[in-house]
Amino acid sequence: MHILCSICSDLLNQAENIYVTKCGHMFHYQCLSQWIERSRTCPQCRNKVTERCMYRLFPNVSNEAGGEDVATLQSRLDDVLLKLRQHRASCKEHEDKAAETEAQLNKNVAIVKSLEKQLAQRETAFSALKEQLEYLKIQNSETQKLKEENENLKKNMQTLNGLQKVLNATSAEVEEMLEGYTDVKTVATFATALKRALCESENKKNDTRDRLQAVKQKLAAEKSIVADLQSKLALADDRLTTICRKYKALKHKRKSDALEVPCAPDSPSTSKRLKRDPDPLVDLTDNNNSFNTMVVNIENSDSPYLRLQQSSLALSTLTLATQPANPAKSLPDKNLKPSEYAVLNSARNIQNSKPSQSKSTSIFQKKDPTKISLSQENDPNLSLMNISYNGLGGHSKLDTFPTPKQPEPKTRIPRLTAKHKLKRPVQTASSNQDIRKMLQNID
Amino acid sequence: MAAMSPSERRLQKELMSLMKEPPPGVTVDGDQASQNLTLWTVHMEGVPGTLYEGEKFVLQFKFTNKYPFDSPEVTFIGNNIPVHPHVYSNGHICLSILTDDWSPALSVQSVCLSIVSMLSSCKEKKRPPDNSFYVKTCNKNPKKTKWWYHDDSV
Repeated sequence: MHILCSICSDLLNQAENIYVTKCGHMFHYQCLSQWIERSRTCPQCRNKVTERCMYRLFPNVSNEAGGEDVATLQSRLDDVLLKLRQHRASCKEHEDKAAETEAQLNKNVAIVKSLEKQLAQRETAFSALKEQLEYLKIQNSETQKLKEENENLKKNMQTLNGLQKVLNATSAEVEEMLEGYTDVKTVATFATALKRALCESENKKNDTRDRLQAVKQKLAAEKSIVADLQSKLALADDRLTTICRKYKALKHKRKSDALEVPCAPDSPSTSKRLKRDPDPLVDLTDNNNSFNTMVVNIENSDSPYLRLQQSSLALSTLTLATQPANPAKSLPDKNLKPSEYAVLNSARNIQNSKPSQSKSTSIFQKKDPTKISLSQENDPNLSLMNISYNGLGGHSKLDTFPTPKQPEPKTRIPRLTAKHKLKRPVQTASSNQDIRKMLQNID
Repeated sequence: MAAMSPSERRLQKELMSLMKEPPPGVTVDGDQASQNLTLWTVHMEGVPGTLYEGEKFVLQFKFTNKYPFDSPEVTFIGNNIPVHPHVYSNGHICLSILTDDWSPALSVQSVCLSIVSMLSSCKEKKRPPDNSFYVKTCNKNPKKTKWWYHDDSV
């Protein structure tokens, strides 16, 4: 027999408190008492029920079959099923939760991955930036160094500028500039630089003064040489004039002789030749001696302006030309110039040939003898009148006084002047050039 | 789960018996009920030979943890609310056993039988006379309504 409590629909077992109402319905005590608190009625028949009219039942239940009958098993099965259902439900719930969580986890994993990727990117970017920073730092330090260097250089440049100004500008400007400077070092630098410049300029000045002295001395020497030469020239001129005078006198004499004795020109001509012979020789030797000594002097001179030994314009030709003048009669020199050769030849001719020959060939005796012969041969009256043709289409009266129109000076003067001209320009030109060079060197 | 409350035990038993031996025209949504034992959905068919023949209604049972000492909250839900003098258009049912005359000896099965008999005994399909007023002013919970029962005969 299985009795159910209609409130909880569980079995009424022996162990539990079974209560019965006045109307005979059985319930568990807990169930009935709980209901009676709400309503004092019987749950089954709605009759009045109070605490007093409830009675406990004590049934005697047989122990034979135990709890193994169908009803007990059914109730147990129900319980188990219920539990199973609940477990299933909770399991499903948990499964759902697990799925949800897994989804979330997957999502989170994806997020983590993306974040990791981002982190890696950031890290690389960070490292790149770090490197860049490092590089920039290095650059910055370099720039700083350069800046400092630049600053130093600027300072140096300023000092140098100041120095330049100190050296070049006017004193007023320098003073004005120096007032602005407070740096002792800079000023000291300026002072040393100025001192150095001063020393240099002093040295230069001394040098220049020495040079000037030397040049002056040389000038004086030159002047003395020039004066010497001039005096010599004057002497020579004097001699020349005296000789000319002598010659004219002789000519005149001879003329007068010829007029007196036209057929005997031998003696005067020979005398003239004899007289004349030593003259040019003396003259020449004289001249040549002085000239040669001068040339040798010039050649051997230590003067920087007269270094003719090294110069191309050596005076050897001059010495060669003049030296043969002494033995001119015997030695025809191949080194002589054609003009000089001709002159020498003519001189030889004069010495070697007879007066008649000389009259006809020599340029020195060209007109007078012919004229004289004409006058002698054709018309002595004409010669008395002292009128003669000069060969230039006119006629001239014969001068009674000795005239300066002689052939000898013509021969001598061209030689001398030619040599002079040859010598002087060479000397002056070379000296001038040398002086110029010297000045350039000095500059 | 080991400590199951008395209300749950009873509900579980009731659900099992209802699913095993349901009254005619009544089926319980076992899955939903087993998911949540405090909220049942019961499908009900109009009993043949009555005014509600061929109609289908849905009842909702809400239980508190004081069940069976506390009565369940029973309302019609869904689109088809039976037109009946004791059923308001919002689904509230005027039935004494659901409030004052509730007894712990009653069950979901007995409530369902009572409602089926109530519907079956209806002679004229009409709303309660104070339907519109009640619907406007009533609480959501029909148990809070102080019912006065018009007709004890039904």
